[in-house]
Amino acid sequence: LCVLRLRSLGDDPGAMTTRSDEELMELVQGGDIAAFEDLVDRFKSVVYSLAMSMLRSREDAEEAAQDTFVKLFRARDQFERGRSLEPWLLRIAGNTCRDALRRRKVDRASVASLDPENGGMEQLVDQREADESGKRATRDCVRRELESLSDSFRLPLVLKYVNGFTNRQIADSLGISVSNVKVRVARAKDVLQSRLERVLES
Amino acid sequence: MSGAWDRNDRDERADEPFVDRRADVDGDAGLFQPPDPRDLERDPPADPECRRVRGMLRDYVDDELPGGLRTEIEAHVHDDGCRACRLALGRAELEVVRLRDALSGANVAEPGPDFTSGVLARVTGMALSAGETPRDLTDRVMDRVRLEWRGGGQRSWSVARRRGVVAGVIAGAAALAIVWMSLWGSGAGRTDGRVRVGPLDGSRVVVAGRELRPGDAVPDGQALEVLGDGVAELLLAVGATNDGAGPFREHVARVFGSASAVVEGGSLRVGSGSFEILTAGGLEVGVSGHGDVALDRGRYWLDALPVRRFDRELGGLGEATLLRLETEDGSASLVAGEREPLVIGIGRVARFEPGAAPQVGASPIALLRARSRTNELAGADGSGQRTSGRSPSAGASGSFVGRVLRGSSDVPVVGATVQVRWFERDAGGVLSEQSDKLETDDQGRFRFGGADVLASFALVSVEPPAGAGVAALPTTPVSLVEVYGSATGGGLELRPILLDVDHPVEGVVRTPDGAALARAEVQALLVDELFGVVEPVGGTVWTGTDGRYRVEGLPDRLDAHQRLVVLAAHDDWAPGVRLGAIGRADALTIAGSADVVVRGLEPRTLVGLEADRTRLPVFFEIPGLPPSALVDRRIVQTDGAGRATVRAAAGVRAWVAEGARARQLAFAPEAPDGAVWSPIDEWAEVGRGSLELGHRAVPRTVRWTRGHRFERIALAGTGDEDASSPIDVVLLAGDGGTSLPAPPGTHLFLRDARGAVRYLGALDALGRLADGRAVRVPVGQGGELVAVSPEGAVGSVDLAGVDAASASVRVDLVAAGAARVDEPLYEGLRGGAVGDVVLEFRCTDGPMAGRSFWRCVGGPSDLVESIPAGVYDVTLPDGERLSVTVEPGAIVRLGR
Repeated sequence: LCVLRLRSLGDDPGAMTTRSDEELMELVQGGDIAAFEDLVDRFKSVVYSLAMSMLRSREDAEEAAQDTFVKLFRARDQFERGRSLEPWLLRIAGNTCRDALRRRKVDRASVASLDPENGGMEQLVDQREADESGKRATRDCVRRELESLSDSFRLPLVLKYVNGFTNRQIADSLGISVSNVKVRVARAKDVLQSRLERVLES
Repeated sequence: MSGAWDRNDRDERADEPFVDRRADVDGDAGLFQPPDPRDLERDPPADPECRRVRGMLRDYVDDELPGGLRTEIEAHVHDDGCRACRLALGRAELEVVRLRDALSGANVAEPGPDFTSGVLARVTGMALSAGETPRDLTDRVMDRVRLEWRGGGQRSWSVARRRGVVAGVIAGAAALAIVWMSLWGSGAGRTDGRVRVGPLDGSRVVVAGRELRPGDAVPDGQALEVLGDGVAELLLAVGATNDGAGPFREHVARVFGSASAVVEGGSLRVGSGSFEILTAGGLEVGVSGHGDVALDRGRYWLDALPVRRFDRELGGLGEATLLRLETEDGSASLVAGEREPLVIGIGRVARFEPGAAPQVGASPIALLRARSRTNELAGADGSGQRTSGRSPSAGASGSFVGRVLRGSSDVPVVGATVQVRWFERDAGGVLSEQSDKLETDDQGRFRFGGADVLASFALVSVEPPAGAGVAALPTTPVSLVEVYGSATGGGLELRPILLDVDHPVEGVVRTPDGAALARAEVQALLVDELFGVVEPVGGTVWTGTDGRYRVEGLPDRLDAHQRLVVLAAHDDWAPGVRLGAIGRADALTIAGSADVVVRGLEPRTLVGLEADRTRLPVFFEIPGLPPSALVDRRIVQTDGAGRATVRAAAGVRAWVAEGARARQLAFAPEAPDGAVWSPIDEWAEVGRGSLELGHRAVPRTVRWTRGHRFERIALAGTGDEDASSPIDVVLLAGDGGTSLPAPPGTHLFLRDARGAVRYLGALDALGRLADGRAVRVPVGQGGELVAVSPEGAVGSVDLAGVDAASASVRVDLVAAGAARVDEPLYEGLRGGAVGDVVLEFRCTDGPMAGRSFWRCVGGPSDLVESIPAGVYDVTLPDGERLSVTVEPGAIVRLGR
């Protein structure tokens, strides 16, 4: 049942880190909250970065990421042996973010004018000094154009090249097929290229 | 909206993702620099291996290829020393490097340092401390729920009930609606579980063959069936804030009549049925085929009706679930797939139909309730207290009034007997049925006062006085749930009850030459346009020797979305339909005569039937009725070769059911000279395609086509395999120039020089046939290879110039015409982003003149593709029509 075991001083924390995700999940199902903590630590970056990409607000992303793990915990008994945890978790995360978007009723216009303090695209701005103004201009241009893409194209690209997701992870997160991810990434690149060529020519 | 289309605007197109960029044919051009013209000279590479490698370069650079393929590419590029591919690889790598560089400042922020502890705090806040059992947790949570609801800030359901609602008749629920006393708080007989069965009245709840009782938990993930004609209540406890610490909220779903659902994660996924949902907010209900409905606090009526209906995309009959969502005081949003939610506000009703734009209007229930609000609640001074008398006419709290009229003349019916029935609960909580009756006054009016505001009333019958010469009609029970108390005595006014409106439908069934047809079967059908269903009413009659018929027993009223038709059928004639007319909004009359003309039958040969079946159910169209009527269903005997001879009227369409869907069949006379009929010529007008042909083996699967539907009727070879050249990889540019792999599911067809069409197969993600087979096309003999993308985009290449020695051909792909719809227009129309919207195109000039077709705008592309050149009237989802000219190779924009 839901009797969780808190990590005792005698537990070997290193043992957890060597376990697979699925083994940890089985421990969570058996009531081991230390295993759950390890899972959170293991996946919080990827979940948070996904949430950040979709919600573009630190507060919302953190809340959605927390919600994701709470949902995972609450649904732990539904996890089946033999399944892979990560796709499931990413799907939960993606759905949670979409729910958040739904509630927030974000429209594209408001996204375009996100307050930097709220973690809009400005967060993608490299705070380091650009070594060349041309490069910086190019980057800014890329980011602007990237930001102007619809989420259908922007998200796969950002998840891939900013967050380092694999196509499979993107597909799980966004609830689309891997081939669809490829198509969207390819199209997003094409769109960027087309627009940038125009900008750079001018 | 001006309706103007800005055609072929280069400046606009440059901003769009689907402009013609044919230079980027391999998908490996640099991100910020155009391809080197010297390389382009070698594009596409003649060598099949090079083409295969080029197709994988992006995945290689993205590290998405398995080791074996990576090794192959590296061997090709480095070991084999393929300079062209090495350059292409360099460009692809440069593209990614530049993209990564441009985004190098992207702040992939980590969550805060307290993130993990925060999660754990929330998790452990769910009372999952050692030794606490789920039962403890559930009870504690539910205690909080009760406290929250009984206390301030949250509305108690019992209060909500007292506030009252006059509920309309919920679609499909003919049964008397019963007001339930608040039982959920009793706890008696409860077991653990997020969803429990509440009170049952005349209904049973069955899960996995086991009948559940009130208080039983509904197991998660299992199908739930509600059987019977009564009312069942389900209690749902759902954590609304997802944080486990609450507040948990409990929601009530009343199920009227039979229904099916699945409990998932403590909430419902509705399959079919009529539901009334009362929620404190934060509830999501899934609806089969429609995604999730997120419900804010309020009361909702949700009807999910599986129907067979015309499927625009399929071009034939299909099964779909129609969703009707109505709310009087809440706000709901419907989300399907990745669409932006469509929000239904207070007092609105919406109808959702797969593949069609939602229809939203004012909620009749909300209107009724708003009207009833004029009967003010009695207030807290006691005048609104529950009536102590048992007769509703004796008290003075709630009341409702009505009037009985002759339907034909609106003359009041004096002395009509109106009977009402209701339920009351005694001090011990036992329900008992009560009834009362009274007679209408000289104005035809009646009034029931003293209504128990917690009771539910049903007006069960209205009988005219004997000898009045007014026909009594069976009255649909009028359910009045939670009648308001009224200090003013005004009462709730019901719609007039009409008697003597049974104008019989009379007419003559005739043949096309005007002769009366005896022994024809005649039926009146009620067509519900809201739900697209058809049901017979009034029984079946047969014409006499003079061809005359008379149908009686029609309903006493029709809703605005209903219409009446008369259907005549005879074994030797095709069915005919006479459309009825509604003379007034609340009563049914048939205007004029209702003669029906039937049409002659002639032998016709159906083709495209499954060869391995000898008997098939085939549905024939009845002009005038929606295809969903499925009235004319016949079992046909096939000849074992996919053909069947039937007697059908000229021009009538036929469908064969295939599982959950149906496809339209072709008749042999439509095929030229006994060859298989195919409209592929139309496709050729739709667009020209870019296909690269290489080498592989031979397919033997042959299918014939009709429109974009593929019907396998036989296996046949052309006998040309010896002179054939195999196809290797096919690349199809699907959006007017960008270089993309042919999307999985792209269908390939081969039309040989004789006009026969072979279906070669569907491509997988690598551009091969989905089942692993390779394909081969005859060469040196002319013909055409045609590709149809899953979205219906068509490309083709002439095989005349292809020979066995040089089996590589490439032509440019330029869609003949495409229309883009601006997102703002969508948002204006639908309140959401680009999604599944169907636009109707009617061609007024051009090769398709006089024809209409639909195009679905959805998915990642907002292009409406595959539009033949011509002038079109375009009907938008909101009914507005625009005129647009589509020219070959152009992208036109639908703008404001």
